[in-house]
Amino acid sequence: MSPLSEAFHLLTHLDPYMISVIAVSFKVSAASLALSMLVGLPVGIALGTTRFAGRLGFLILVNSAIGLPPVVVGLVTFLALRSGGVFGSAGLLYTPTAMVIAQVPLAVPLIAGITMAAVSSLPRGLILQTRAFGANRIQQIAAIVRHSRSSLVAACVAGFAATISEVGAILITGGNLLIGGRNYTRTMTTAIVLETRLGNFARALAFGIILIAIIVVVNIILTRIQVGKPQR
Amino acid sequence: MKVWVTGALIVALIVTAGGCQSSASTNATEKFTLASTTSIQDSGLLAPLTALFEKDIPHYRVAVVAVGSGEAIQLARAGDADVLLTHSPEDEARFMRDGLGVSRQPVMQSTFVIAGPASDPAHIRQTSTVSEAFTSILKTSSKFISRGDGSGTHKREQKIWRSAGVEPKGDWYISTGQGQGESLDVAAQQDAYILTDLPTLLNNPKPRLKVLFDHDPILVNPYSVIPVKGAKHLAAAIAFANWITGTHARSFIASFGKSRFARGLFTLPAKPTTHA
Repeated sequence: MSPLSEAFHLLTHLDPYMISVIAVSFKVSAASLALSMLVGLPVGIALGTTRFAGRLGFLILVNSAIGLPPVVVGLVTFLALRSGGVFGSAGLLYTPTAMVIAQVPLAVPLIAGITMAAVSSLPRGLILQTRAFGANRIQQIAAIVRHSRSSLVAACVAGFAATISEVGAILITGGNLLIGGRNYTRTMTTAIVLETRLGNFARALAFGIILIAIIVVVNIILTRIQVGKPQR
Repeated sequence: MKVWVTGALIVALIVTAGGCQSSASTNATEKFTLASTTSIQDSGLLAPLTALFEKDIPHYRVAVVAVGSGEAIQLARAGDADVLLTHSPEDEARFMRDGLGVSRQPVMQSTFVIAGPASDPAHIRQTSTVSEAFTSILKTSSKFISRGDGSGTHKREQKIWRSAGVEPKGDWYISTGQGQGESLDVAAQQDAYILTDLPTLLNNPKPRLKVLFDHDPILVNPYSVIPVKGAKHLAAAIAFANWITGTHARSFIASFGKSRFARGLFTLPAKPTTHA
């Protein structure tokens, strides 16, 4: 049997190990996404709607941060979390939390950048209009979110896709560990690295097919948002 | 996003195509693939050794793939490696039995040791055999880092658990699935025990990892070289195997590390070998 057909066989007969790897992948990416949304959405909205001195500098910062090499972010997080590092006493290295800490700086700029672009492209009259109707700051923001919500969903979906397919940062900070035979910090991407090294190409491919399927689903969602509900 | 993915695919294709071209255009020298192990690379021996080979026989260029012994042998089985330099005796023997190797010659040996925190919670310093040491780690549920990657070191570790008649199970047993260097880092950070080859540990010293057990003769770690039958660059593979078991390489291997560690990291096999 070729590795590819063997991979499809594995996908239709998922064992507990594979399920646990997929579960850890989703758990870590979901946590990273939730934290990144908390930071990225407000930052993106603020940068997209306000004008202040030094805004240009922030825009450059956000756009540059989108291109941060994940493995470098992982390295810096590793050095900070290892014993003797700045946050070494927290004992977080080689935990799912460490993986989330490494992924948030990767997803935040992406979410903030897409949000910023979407919000900036809203008609300029919108804010003035809501203000004319006596809306306070919170109501203004609500109006902005309402009018750009499909793009904000797109920003978050893109953030999720970026974190679930990332490998460099989480391999260094998570350690790809099984503890007592149970999965602890092994994700689909780090498992692909390991299974390839082990020569288990079918298993590696099976995880790869799942990842690609996720990316395709993500793009279906994004495209439908963009095509189905065009921005005004 | 979609545009981005398509763009990335195009870039990937261009890069791959470019890579193929550049490897095909080196006509002056013959490049061959040596599949070896992370432990030799992490010990610091592999780079100067292959450089010395290329200096002695300038006609050849070595492309080194340093992976676990398990994958190295898989690469050779798939025809993607010309010569093996590995340390997994059972796998090597099976490879030869399957008729896939030209010859299997001993190159050198190092030793495995158990490293761990100086506090030695399982008191393995007082044990006399490696089975006893492993059993003591299990009984005290002291943290133990396993490579878990099918490498020669991992295979050896599994063999020791089997011969001790115990099965490592529980939250104290942590599997990294990574190379020797990374696994040492995990052990140092977790104050855990780890089975490691001594050269890699000496070359990557960790203040929190001490050699606690090195006194069982069965912990010898032999490396062998095997040119792969039907390899694309068979002549190069055989030349490399002859060179690495020859006098120049032997004296280099025997002296490697002596200036830095006050002892050689590798010893030579008991009797000199000649190529058949």
